[in-house]
Amino acid sequence: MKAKTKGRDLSKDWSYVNGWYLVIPLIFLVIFFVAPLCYMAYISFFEFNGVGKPLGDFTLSHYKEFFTKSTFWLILVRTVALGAASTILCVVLGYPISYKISRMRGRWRSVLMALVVLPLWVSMTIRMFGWMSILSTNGLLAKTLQSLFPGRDIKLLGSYTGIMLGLIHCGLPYFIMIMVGPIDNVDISYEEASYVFGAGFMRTFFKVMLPLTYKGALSGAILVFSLNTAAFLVPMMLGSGKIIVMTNTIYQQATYLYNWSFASALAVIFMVFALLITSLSRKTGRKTGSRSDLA
Amino acid sequence: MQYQVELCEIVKDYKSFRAVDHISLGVQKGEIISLLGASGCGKTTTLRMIAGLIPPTEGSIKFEGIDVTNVPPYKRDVAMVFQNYALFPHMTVFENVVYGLRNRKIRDKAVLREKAEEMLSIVQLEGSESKYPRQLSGGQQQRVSLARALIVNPKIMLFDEPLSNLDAKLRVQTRTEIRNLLKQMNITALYVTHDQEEALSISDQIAVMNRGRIEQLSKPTELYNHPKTKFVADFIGQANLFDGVVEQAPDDELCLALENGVHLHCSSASETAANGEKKSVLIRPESITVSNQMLQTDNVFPARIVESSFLGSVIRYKMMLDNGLPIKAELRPGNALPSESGQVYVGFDREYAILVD
Ligand SMILES: Nc1ncnc2c1ncn2[C@@H]1O[C@H](COP(=O)(O)OP(=O)(O)O)[C@@H](O)[C@H]1O
Ligand SMILES: [Mg+2]
Repeated sequence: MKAKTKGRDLSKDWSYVNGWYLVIPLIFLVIFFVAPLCYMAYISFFEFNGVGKPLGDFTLSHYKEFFTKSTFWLILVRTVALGAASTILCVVLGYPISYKISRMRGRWRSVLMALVVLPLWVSMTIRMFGWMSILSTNGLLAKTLQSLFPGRDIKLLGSYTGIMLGLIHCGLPYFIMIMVGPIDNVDISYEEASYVFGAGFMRTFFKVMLPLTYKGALSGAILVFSLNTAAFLVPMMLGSGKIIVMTNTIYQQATYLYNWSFASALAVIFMVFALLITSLSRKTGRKTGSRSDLA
Repeated sequence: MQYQVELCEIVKDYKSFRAVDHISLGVQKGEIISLLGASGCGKTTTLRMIAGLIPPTEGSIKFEGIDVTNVPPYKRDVAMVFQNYALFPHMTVFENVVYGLRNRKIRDKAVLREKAEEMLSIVQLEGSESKYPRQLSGGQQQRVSLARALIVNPKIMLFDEPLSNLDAKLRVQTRTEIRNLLKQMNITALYVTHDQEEALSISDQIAVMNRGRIEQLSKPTELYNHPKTKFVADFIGQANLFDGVVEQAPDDELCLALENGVHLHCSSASETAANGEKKSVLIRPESITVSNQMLQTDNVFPARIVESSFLGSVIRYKMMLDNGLPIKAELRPGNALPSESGQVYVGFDREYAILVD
């Protein structure tokens, strides 16, 4: 008890932010984020009679519809699978780049870091439009591949390959940015010790570098996964309407079919799944990590 | 005779900066050689080249007569004790200690256990196997890192200022322990330090480094008593150094004529001094006698005491000779002069005046 009050006093002494400053962003968050979210969950349990009209009776039919129709299940699985696959590729591709950058010093480090962040300065729509032109049948990539494999029918736009390329493109900068710090924190002498004591490159990576940067990689992966499962423009613009994911479906239900209640139910289901997956991976990650991190 | 480890004309350039400048050095089996020098003189760079962590710009490195210049570190069979210990924080003491053995394809649990136990008992850390490095004190971590290196029985063991993070008392104790262990197990070692006392006490030979070069490679006593250059004389221990020109005295003994006309009778042990050659003379403060009365030594000068400081086992006097030369002397407290001494006499025999380049 005594310790608690003491701790509080200490934090009060140390905080140079007046607690009241937090009230404004808090109010903002509640009004524009928490409240709509709650309202969305609320209307997913009622019959929808049209925009601006009062809600109908309480019903579970929207949820029933989702869980009984395999079309919707498939969409959810596809969304998660695309998110997971693109995340894994972002980790595999991003880690070595982050490693190189964090082991650099001075000007080159800043230059490379800027190059990584550069794509984020350009609007997503414009970047995806760029990808569309590269991936389209007359585009650079498709043409090159076509000339390399003449017999095959190569379709990138509107294919899983195209969407994966787009998702990796979007996730990679974030993963690299997040990973540079944790790798930088691993003193280079650990790596050197590993080499000196007879471990080659792969062993050093799996025995020393990965365990020591595990948490950072997990955070990065979870962020990329969240971003990529929630991606809207990528499947929309690179999927050519052939590959439907959760975000498109919700959009469709809400804006074309005006079924806000069903859209809300989809959103709630999607959110719950996303939260479940991320919190689960965080937990298993903690457990694996704790064996080594905590004494 | 073949060296265990041999460096041939090693050079390391960082852009236009030459960190290591034509170093050649041979270490025999079981020998402990120290690289001693001020910070930034290229000691760590040399060590890292031997470990294979960085490639030399020029020159070659041989282990047991075989060129290993292009062999990666994990195939060199070396071991290293790092300045910050570099114990893997996510592994237990046991895992840290057997890391090198596991990489050498030793998988048998019983063998690993037994070896680790043996090494940990050698460094007096029995029963710490399941602890993590962060649960150990600096001194204990240091000993774990020593055990991790000893266990692989390396061709050469490399130390990079391993004691610089310990407190003074532990440092003195640990360095004798390290020497005893290395000698017991007949391990060849290269020991980098900037602490001359450490180098003098731990090594069979010391290589004094200056700006990327080895100034002198000698046994510790030789280094202290007969330094070859002014830099070494000044770097090791306390020194009085005066520049002058060699002259043959009438009695055929060596003499150094200082700039202000003073003549110093010097030791003729340094046989290479030719008449008219520019040299310096080294007189160690502890080989100087100071007295109120006239002295009977080869060199005697009247002087005045400028400053005296009590350092425990010795008293150090800063004095000014009447001919204008400043000189330092160290006396045992038993031989201390009365504090109000005016005119004193400073004297030393010729064998204590050593000519250096
Ligand atoms: N990676 C590097 N790039 C550029 N200069 C370096 C690098 N490593 C060391 N140096 C320089 O080389 C010199 C020798 O360094 P080092 O071998 O670490 O000295 P010591 O260990 O004797 O203190 C220093 O002046 C240092 O600044
Ligand atoms: Mg150093």
